[in-house]
Formats: sequence, structure tokens, C-alpha cells
Amino acid sequence: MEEIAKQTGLSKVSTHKSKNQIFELLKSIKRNKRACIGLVIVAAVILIALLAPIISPCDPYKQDLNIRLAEIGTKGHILGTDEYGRDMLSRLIYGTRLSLLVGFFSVVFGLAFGVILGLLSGYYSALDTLIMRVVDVLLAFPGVLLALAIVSALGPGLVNVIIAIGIWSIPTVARVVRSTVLYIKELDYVTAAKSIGESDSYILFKEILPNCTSSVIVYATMRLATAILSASTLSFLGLGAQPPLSEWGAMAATGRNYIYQAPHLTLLPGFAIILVVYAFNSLGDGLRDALDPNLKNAI
Amino acid sequence: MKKILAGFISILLVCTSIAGCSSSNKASKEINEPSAKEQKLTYVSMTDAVGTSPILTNDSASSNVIRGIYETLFMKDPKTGEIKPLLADSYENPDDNTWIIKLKKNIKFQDGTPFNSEAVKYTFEKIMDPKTASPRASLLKSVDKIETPDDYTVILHTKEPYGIMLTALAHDNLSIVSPKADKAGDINKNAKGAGTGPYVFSEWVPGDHLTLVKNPDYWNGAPKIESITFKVVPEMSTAVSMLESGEADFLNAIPPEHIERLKDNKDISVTLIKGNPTFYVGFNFEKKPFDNLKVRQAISYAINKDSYISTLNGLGYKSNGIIGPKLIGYDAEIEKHGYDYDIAKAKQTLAEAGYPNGFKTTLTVANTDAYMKIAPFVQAQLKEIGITVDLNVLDWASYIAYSKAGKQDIYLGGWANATGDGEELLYPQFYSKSIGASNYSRYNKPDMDALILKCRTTVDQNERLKNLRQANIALTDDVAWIPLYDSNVTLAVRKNVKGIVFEPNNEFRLNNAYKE
Repeated sequence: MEEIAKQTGLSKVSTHKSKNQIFELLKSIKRNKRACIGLVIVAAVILIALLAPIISPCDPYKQDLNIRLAEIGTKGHILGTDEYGRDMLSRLIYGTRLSLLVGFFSVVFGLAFGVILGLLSGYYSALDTLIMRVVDVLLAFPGVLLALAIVSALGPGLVNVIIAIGIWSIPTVARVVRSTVLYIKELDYVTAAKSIGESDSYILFKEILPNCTSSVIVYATMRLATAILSASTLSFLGLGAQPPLSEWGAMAATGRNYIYQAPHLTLLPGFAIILVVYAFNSLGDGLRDALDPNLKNAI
Repeated sequence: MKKILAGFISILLVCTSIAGCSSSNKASKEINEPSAKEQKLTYVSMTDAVGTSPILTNDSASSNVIRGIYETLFMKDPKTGEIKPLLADSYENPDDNTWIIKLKKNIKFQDGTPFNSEAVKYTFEKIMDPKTASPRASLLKSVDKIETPDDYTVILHTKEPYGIMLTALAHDNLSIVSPKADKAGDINKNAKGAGTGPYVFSEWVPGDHLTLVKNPDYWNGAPKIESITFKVVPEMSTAVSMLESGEADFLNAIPPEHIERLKDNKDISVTLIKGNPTFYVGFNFEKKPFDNLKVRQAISYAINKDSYISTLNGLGYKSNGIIGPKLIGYDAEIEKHGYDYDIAKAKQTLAEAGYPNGFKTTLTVANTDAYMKIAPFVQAQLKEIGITVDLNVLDWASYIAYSKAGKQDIYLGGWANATGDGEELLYPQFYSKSIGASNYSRYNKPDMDALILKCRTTVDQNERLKNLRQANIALTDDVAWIPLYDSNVTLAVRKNVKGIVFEPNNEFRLNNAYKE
């Protein structure tokens, strides 16, 4: 969802670039095996999420206590059932929706604020110190701890998890964008725009922002992996998705009580998390190799 | 890249092998120790004691410790449930408002001072003193005046007839403390010498462990166990593996998912007895539509208790009564009452109540294991009759505050009855003056109030039982609660430990315990 949208966006705004950019990007990813695998898995996961109601064999919330804790391979429940006799496969399939939604929206949330702060901070040196010191404070918190504190203050629930992870993403996005802006604003075409009297907002949003897109895309893709992982962590701790939602982290947490009798309750959602996080990270790596201005001198 | 990876893996291997060595060393050391001969017991608990003074505490972790250090005037026989004298010798009631209690002679507190009527008067007056703010002052609320005509006679005068006086006097929180020890220091933190019991307080490292040692001068015969350690382990899985490895000797309140594993272990014996802790779905009677009997009936019809109980591995059993089978006041006639699972009737009753398409509501739950397991089940069951339930999951303290304030719609509750008397459930849960405290349902019906007061004040035991049974039927018919299940209580002990006495309220006594 994420990267396709971003890619089309990219080709639209970068009118002075070759039209074959997407094609070139795909070619570069094709050369990179890991990125290729990542892209395929991500595409598959998105497809699964979209088609969840069609491909799930059962209703993920339908309980049947007569067949609880069924093993993998049970007839009618290929991946077994959980402690309430709900079909594990269907729950995992619906879980992809939750994970992708949380990942996507929290990254969008982080980008929305982070990009603006980064632009302002990079362009106006007067604001730079103020914004960057606030960012430093946020960065000083060790990762999940900040998200944990925010969720504890807001109360448990998926929306609050999105906000928490979003806030946690802001400082890094701001940093990434700021550094790119600092570089771009010294370039000739920005100076040229200034000299013909273009307004600041025009320069910021029409000249500088489009040229930050590649680094933002790379960052966003990698960040999706972190966001999905953190959302699962928070759900595992009981602060994220609430029952009966089939969020992977929450599934792993409740399954933990049955780890001796039915290890698949914990392991399957665990594998799902690993797979998705791996896929987004690989894809992000591949995109960075393809898009990184330092490697390709594209800008 | 490959080199780095290889280096990393080799470091990892070295680390794990070192860890492996050290743990195997530890294991072999444990086997070599002749621990079986040593008369030391270790009990693991999820929670630490709050304090060691019976006057100032009211939680089961503290009570487990207090029961070793102190003793009460009366005690409940663990097998029959009958109340028998402990520190008391005998009692008589010249009238409904007077209790003359004779005390046993020649008993000394662990600090050497004699146990006498002065100590009883001191303890009870301290509990009754509002300045003490004793959490269980309610146990003596009816007591007006305490007289001590001689060293071994205590006379309790009550304001109104107090039916459960003996049960109250058998409550751990009415244990007698040594006035000297209590005046000398804070026995809630260091209870050395403060009781008459078989074990003496030794040390307490809060959050880690609390140790009692044997009282060689115990009046009823010195115990065989030299010392007992109450160890705090907040993780159930860790506690279970400690019992398996022999680091711990016994453990109670075991959740269903660990039971099978412990039963399969040939070094461990698991005792399972019918207990009184009960889990229920409660309603807020002040909120619509739960004031409507038909709605409550429909919800009761919609919940298949049997199917949930089947998931508990034998740790729960069914009863329709709000006063359950292990409480004084229960009678089997109640099983004919109540509204058992019948989905068609559920839908029909809900339609009769004016909600043919159901409605939306919130279920308030505390985030502890037992409740979090029930919640999705109730949620799914109510969905079948069109009631959409959102879960409102709160931590324990917030859950209590929220329910006390009556903010919840429906809620999951549990009640463990320390005295084992049905009256101790009726008064806190369904008496109108308990609203804002423990009456979370905000149940407020004058008929029931009158009946509860009658149960409280009747001294004649047969009359009392009749009232309790009547109240049980009235509440069950009115769906004041939907009782989901009563718990069986569990104790897992290593086979070389004998003589632990276990009771239906999940309490244990270690007076006669020993190791083989």
C-alpha cells in the first residue's frame, strides 16, 4: 500500500526527472535478491489483508470450546485452534490487517509531523535550535519506553498505539528531512528560485520537499517494520489491541499461558511478526540502495 | 561480512556453553545437598505480604504469614467447617447480646508475656479504635463493650445480636497480638515475638522473601519444621518450574494451564478441593437496561457455563446459587433455580424485554489472568443474542475504584469468602449501605436489606440458615449476579512434604507439616 502510493506520488511531482523512474527502481530492486524477496512478501501480505474475508476459512471471532487448543493439521483447522477454539489461520489472516493498519497509520502520523518539523528546522536557521533540542529530548528516550509511557497516559487501545508510535517516529523523521533540506537549500536551483523572488512556502513545498521524497520513502519503509514490531510489543504487554481482536502480539501474549500444551498459539503469531518485519526491512534496504542520493548522486 | 557473522556466532556459542556449564553445576549441587532431611519449607507466592500485623492487613498473602505467627480465639475445622475453640476454651451466651468466652490457661506469647484476657481486650479495642483504621474493623462492628472480670474470662457485649460472632472470631484478622510487642514496635513490619503461634517471625526482605522459624515453646507441641520461607515470584511459570526443580516445596492457587503438567510429575502431588471463591457476571442496577429483570434473565440464558467450565481442567464447578456450595447458608434446592443456558429462550426473553435486536454495552474487567480469560468468552456468547460488548480493561486498582463509583455497565467480579459464611457475601455485596464500597452492583432493595439484617442479627443457628437460604433463592431468582463458576482450590506439594492442612478458602496451615 504504502510504497506504491509513494512511488506514484514521486513520479508525479518529479516532473523534471525521467518518466522511467519506477521502472528503473524496480530494475534496481530486481538486481537485489533480498529486496526482491521483501517486495514479494510485502505484496503478498497486503493482498492477504485486502482479501481477508474471502480467503479466511472461518470467522476469526467464532468460539467453539469443544475443539479448543487443537493442534496444527487438525481437519478443518489447518493451523489448529486457540484457547477458545477459534481458528488460528483465520485469526492470523485478520491479524495482517491490524498490523498493516497500525504500521501504516502510525508511520503516516509520524511523517506528517516529522516532515513539517524537519522542513522548518532545516530551512529557517532561527527555528533550527529550538526544534532540534525538542527532538533531542524525544530521542533521548529509549525506543519502546517512550511509546509505553504515551500509551500508559492515553490508555490502552489500538488508536492510542498508533498515536504513541507516531509520536515516537516524529524526531527521527524530522532529523532525516532536516539533513536533506540543509543540503538542498544550498543548491543552485533553490538559490535561483530565491533570486526570482519565489515565496518561502513555494520553495519549501515545490522545490525542496519533492527532492526529500526518496529519503523519506526509504525511511518510511524501514519504519513500518519498527512500527509493526512495536505495536505487537505493546499489544503483548496488554496495552495495544484488546480482546477479541486478533493482533499478533496480543495472540502471542495470551498463547504464552499455554506454551507447554499448545506452543503453536505463541509461535505462529511470532513467525508472522518476524516474516513481515523481515520483509519490510529488506525492502527498505533495497529501496535505499536504489534511491540513496549519496550512492547514486541522483540529485 | 561472513567473517563478522562467523565471529558473532562463535561468541554466541561460547556464551551459551558458559551459561550451560554454570547452570548444570548448580543443578548437580542441588542434587548433592541433603535437602530432604533438612526441615525447611519454601512456599512460593505471586504477591508479597502487605504486612505482618493481623490488625492492619486484609490480604491473603499476609494472612498466610499471620496464620503461622498468631492464633485466633476460635478456628474453623478444615474438614467439617465447624467452629472449634483454639485459644479459647469454651463460650456461653446468657442472652443474645452477651458472649462469655473462657480462655485456655498457661499459654505464652513468643516474647514471654502471658496470654490472658488483657491481651484479647487490647487487641480487639485496637481494632475497634477508628484511629487504627483497621481494614477488618467491620468484623467487630457490633461489639459495644469488652469486659475482663478475671485473667481468663472475656465478656463481649454487642449492640445488637451478632449471628456470626464465632465465625468472625475465627477470622485471621482477629488473631490476638502481644500488647508488649505491639507497644514496643511496628509489628506490621517486624512481628518478632508478637503471637502465640507455632512459628516466630525471623526476617523480611520486602519483595523477595519472608522467613519464619519454629517456636520451640509452642503450647500445642513444637512444630517439626525448623523454618519456612515465603518466597515472592511474580511469574506463575517460574513458580511452577521452581516447584518442579525442588527449589520450592509447595504452591497454591495454580491456574488451569499448569495443572496437567504438575499432575504428570511423579515427585509432586496435586490436591484439588471444592472451594468457595466464585466468579460472576455482575450488573449495574442503576443503569438501563440492567434494571430490567428480563434483560438479566436473557443474559443468563445466553451464557453456556458448562462449556466454559470444561476449559478449566477441573478447576471450576457449577452452581446456580449466589451463595455457593461451600458456604454456610447453601442448600442444594438452589440448583433448581437460576436460568441456565438456552439460546432460544435468551433471544425470546430479550425480545420480550423490548430489545429484539440486542443493544451495545461495555463489560468492565480487571486485567488479571482469570478475568481476562472469561471476558472474551462472555463477549462472544452475548454476541450470539445480538448484544455487542466492548471490553473495558482496567488494572486492579482502577477496576475497584471504577466499580465502587458505579461507572460500569456490566462487569466481571470474583468473591473469595474468608469466613465461609454466606452472610459475609450478602452484606458487602447486596446490602444498600454497602453501595459505594463493595456493593458494585448497587443492589438496593428494601426486602433484601431487611432479610440481610435478619441474617446478621439472628443468633439462633437454624433460624439463621433459613434466612440465608431464603436470601439465596431471592437473589438467584432476581439474577443479582450470574454465577459463572465456583473454583476448586489447588495445592501442589512435593511428595516428601507431609502434613499441610489445606482449606476450601485456599488457606493452608503448617502446624503439623514435616519433611520425610
